[in-house]
Amino acid sequence: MSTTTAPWTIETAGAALRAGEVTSVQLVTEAQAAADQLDEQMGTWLARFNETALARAAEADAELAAGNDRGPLHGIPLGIKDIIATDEGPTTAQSLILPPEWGEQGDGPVITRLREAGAVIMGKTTTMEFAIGRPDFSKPFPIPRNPWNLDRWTGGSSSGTGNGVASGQILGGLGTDTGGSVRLPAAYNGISGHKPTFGLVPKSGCVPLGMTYDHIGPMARSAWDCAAMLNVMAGADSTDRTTVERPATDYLAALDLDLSGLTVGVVANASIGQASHEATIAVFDEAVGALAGAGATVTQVEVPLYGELANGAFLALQAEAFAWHRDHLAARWSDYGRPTRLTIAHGALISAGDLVQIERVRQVARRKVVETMDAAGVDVLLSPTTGYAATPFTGADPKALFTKALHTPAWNSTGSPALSVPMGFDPDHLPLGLQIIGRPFADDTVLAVGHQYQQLTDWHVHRAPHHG
Amino acid sequence: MADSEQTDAEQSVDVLLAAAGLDVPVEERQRLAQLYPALRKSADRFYTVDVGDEVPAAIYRAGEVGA
Repeated sequence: MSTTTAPWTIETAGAALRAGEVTSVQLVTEAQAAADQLDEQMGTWLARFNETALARAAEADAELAAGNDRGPLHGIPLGIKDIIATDEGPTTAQSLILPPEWGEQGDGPVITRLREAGAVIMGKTTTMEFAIGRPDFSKPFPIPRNPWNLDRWTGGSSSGTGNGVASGQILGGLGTDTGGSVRLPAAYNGISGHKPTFGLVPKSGCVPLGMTYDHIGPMARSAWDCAAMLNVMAGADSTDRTTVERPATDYLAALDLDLSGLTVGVVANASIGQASHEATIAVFDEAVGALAGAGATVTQVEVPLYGELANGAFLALQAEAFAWHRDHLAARWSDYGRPTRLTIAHGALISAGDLVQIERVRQVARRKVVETMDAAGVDVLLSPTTGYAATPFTGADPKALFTKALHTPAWNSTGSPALSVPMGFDPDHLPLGLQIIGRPFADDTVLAVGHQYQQLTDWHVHRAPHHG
Repeated sequence: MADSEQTDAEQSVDVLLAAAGLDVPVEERQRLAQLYPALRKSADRFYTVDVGDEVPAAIYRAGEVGA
């Protein structure tokens, strides 16, 4: 999209809009041209809303010209993961199963908020079927590919939003995260992705997977961009009873953080190192070193019940997903993709007592994690987002496919805010992610650490080989 | 021993899938049965954690009927 070396970010595009150097119509037209060029090979889109997007961009330009500035998302092209309903429709969850009428409910509160902030909705992006599983070549849906290497997966399940941002087809978008589905594609595609604190952002209008593990989160180039989106997305809504009434936080204003007053805790649990490639750990150590070099105090933290938090997320989300899918599975087993139906069917094999016990452990572990952070005096925790970079569609290192190689799901169990930002590359020049985890509702601190890291590094504005 | 464990897993999986109303092809039932012992082991591990009288997170608010 950009003719300069660095791709647009929401921040730089917004500045250019206000300086009169570009219009929203130009941003949207260039993004649509990038999609025309790349979508067939990248598998980014399930539906594109070209006409309504251009009309909205023209309105945004007219509003700006009249002095009506809606803020940082004004006139900015965004993509929406296709498990979130929008007025333009349709919503498929990348499945043959979802009843068409489900998508007819129209905008949920997060979409309404983005529109009111001036964002331009470009279309619906690819996912894994019902936001779970892996690419399924047997179904009539696009296979999302990684702009750093088309033989590699984007990660999932917010695949199209991830590769769409990384390839310049959108400047940001929405993903959802039940076990890492915002952070994993953010890491694999070399962009930033934030899983907010559970209860901060309403999930209404989103097809559920694991109801108590699901989060809608922003994905974009930078932590600044994610903070701009979260400013709009956050806040309780009566349509989602899990949201929490809290005073509003200005996440952009909070980005101005002095790292020299900060203590970061490196997650020291052995399973992180055991389930990570040595190159990932080397890059991670450099990222921690960059923060330390800027004045942050670094300490090691053993997270209590870490394995239970991670395993509990996988087990319980399967049970919660099964509760939602049981009747459809019974009636239309073969219409589900094989990876999806086998994963959700695991929920039938977990007992009611198991689920209650997992939830009891979850409560204890959540409390212990905060107590441990308090005792260690740490503001945030750090780990690699994943142990390995983007996996190939065939012939992947089996260790890279283990669920233990995802260092994300524990934080779905705790509901903690967790941000993935690019931290460098593996020996195959594939991006790697740094995960920053905070206390519940300390999303401002997490985003600020990510932003400050991105003032020290430029990994987040590297241009992928396949870029519009 | 391994054969009897596999048989137990297959029987358990068959019963649980049938109770859930799922008619699963044989090959996929076998796949689920292969994975079942690991799933059981993972779930059983949660009973070894001392949780005292902790209650699950699910919240019931009498009188609240939602939006």
